[in-house]
Amino acid sequence: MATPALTRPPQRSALTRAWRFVNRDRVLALIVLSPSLLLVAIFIYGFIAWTSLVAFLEWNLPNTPVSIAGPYNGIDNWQWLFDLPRWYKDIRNMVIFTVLFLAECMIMGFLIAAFLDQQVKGEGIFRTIYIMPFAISAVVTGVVWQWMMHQTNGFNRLIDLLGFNHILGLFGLGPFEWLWMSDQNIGMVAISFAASWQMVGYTMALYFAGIRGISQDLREAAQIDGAGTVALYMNIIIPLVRPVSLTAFIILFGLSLRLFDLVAAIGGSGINFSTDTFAYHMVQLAFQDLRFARGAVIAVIMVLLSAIVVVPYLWSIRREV
Amino acid sequence: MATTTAPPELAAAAGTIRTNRVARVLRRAFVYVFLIVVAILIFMPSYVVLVNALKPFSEVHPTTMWQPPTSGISLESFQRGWLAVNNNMIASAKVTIPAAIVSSLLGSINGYVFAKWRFRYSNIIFLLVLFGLFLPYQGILIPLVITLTQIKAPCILLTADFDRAFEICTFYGTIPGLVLTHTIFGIPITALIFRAYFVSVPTDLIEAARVDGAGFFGVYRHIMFPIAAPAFAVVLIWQFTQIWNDYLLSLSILNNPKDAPVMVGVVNTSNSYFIEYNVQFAAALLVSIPTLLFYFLLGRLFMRGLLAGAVKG
Repeated sequence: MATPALTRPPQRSALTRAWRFVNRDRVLALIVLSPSLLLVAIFIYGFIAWTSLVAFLEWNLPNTPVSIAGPYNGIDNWQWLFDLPRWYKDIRNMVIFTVLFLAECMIMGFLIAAFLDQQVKGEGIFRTIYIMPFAISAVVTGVVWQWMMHQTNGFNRLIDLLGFNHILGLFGLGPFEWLWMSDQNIGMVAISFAASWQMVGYTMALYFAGIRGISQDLREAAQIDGAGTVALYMNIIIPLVRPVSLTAFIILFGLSLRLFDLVAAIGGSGINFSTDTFAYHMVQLAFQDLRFARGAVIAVIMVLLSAIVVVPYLWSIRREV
Repeated sequence: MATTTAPPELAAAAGTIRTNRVARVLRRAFVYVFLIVVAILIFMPSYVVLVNALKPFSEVHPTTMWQPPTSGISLESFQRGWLAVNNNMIASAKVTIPAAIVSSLLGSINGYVFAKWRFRYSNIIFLLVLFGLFLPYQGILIPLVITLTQIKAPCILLTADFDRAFEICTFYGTIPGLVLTHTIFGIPITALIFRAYFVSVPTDLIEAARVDGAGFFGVYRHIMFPIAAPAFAVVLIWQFTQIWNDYLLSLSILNNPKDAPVMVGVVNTSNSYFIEYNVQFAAALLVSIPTLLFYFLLGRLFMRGLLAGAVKG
């Protein structure tokens, strides 16, 4: 009985010393952080790996449970997708949308920010109006724009009401009669307008913060050297806001890759899949047709496309974050 | 008269000043015209929604969509719209409020660790977490749904359904399941915003507190938490807006008509041929009110979240 009593205190102090050595607070910090890291590891990275496995599973019948135990069928699902005409429509639609959406948001966003930077009265009111659509969901945007792009009653009628068709007529041009979503060539353009309506204010806010961040001294120096407003923008401001352009590009690219809500609300994949997107096609395959494996192929492609753009970006800012 | 007697070079100078002034006025006018035209274009859809939602049913016709109401305004559309989406609004509140609060608390702790308790590779780990910001949810949707159908809890905890009090339910198709999902996928953005905020807290302050005997939690409770009110506001508003406006995760996890979140409800409303467009507009406006209120009342905080979401803001 006496022996343990004698040995216990030294043991305790050794433990305490070890405890001090590893720094109690540091350990606590890691313990507190670890549940979140575990969740991210499972729900993001683990699930991406899981989806990648699903993409190689043999597809059985709808409603049969998908198990990663197999059986696997090699690249059959991929082969199926790349033989599918709808997939090429998706690619075409995504390219059209991404190019238009990025151009519209970035060019208009920058222009609006530049104009707003001219010591304007009521700057706050303008900004509030421009950014407001960002607080509105993509679904609501879709519901509203569906009506704005109505063939007879939407913009076509507004343009007529405002007398623009009369002016067009003077130049021998026909009345403005876009078929919007019903025109297979215009559907994606129409969706890009709705998406840009929502995001142009956001892009403007990014640029505006960037432009305001440029020191006043630098602008004054340029103006003393005789640079006009245009020269000031071309030679000083545009090069200096390049990091903002990169950030805006990354965010807007990500949004266009994920384009789903808006399409679902405006009217789905459209006539002949003319407004189908990767995201919409994936959700339809996986959750409507219950062809998980085929849906997973598109999911993997989406993750890869976003990683190609985002990973180098995150790597490039690793020292700044 | 005056110009004829004045020396010619003076008259020329006056002329230049005048043309300069004209040029300046024209330039100002151009700036304002541009800004106002853009403002009108951006406000137009909101105008159409308001005008049509406020028309009495007797006036509602798609051909007069652009015209304001002529015989006074009416709230009929809003009454019908409210009936169409009120269940969804309640369901969304049940999802959004807990998810926003839990993810802000979690984010504040994570941000605190990432900002002030750097460890080996903590920057790389932070970047790995940030990748979640850019993740297309399609990439994780299939495993997510499978997992949520496999984790189970007593029904009483998940659905408040007393008839099935002693049964076991899955997280899939329940409000807690969606809250859990939003909380997990909120980890990257909340950590990012709180980390950016806490980085600016002087390390001296923390050192002083530690000398006074405050540990990891003491520093959080007595220094970080009390000064983090603005960051909490930014994160709460941001998460509230994102979760309220979410469609994809809601659709995939909580699609039963009884308690589908608002955006699922709005899409169902707009796809219904039995619901008039003015009622759709009224419903669209009603479901946007919570986020628009945040935007108009707390615009500054909303903007900070918006810029923080841009990674380097």
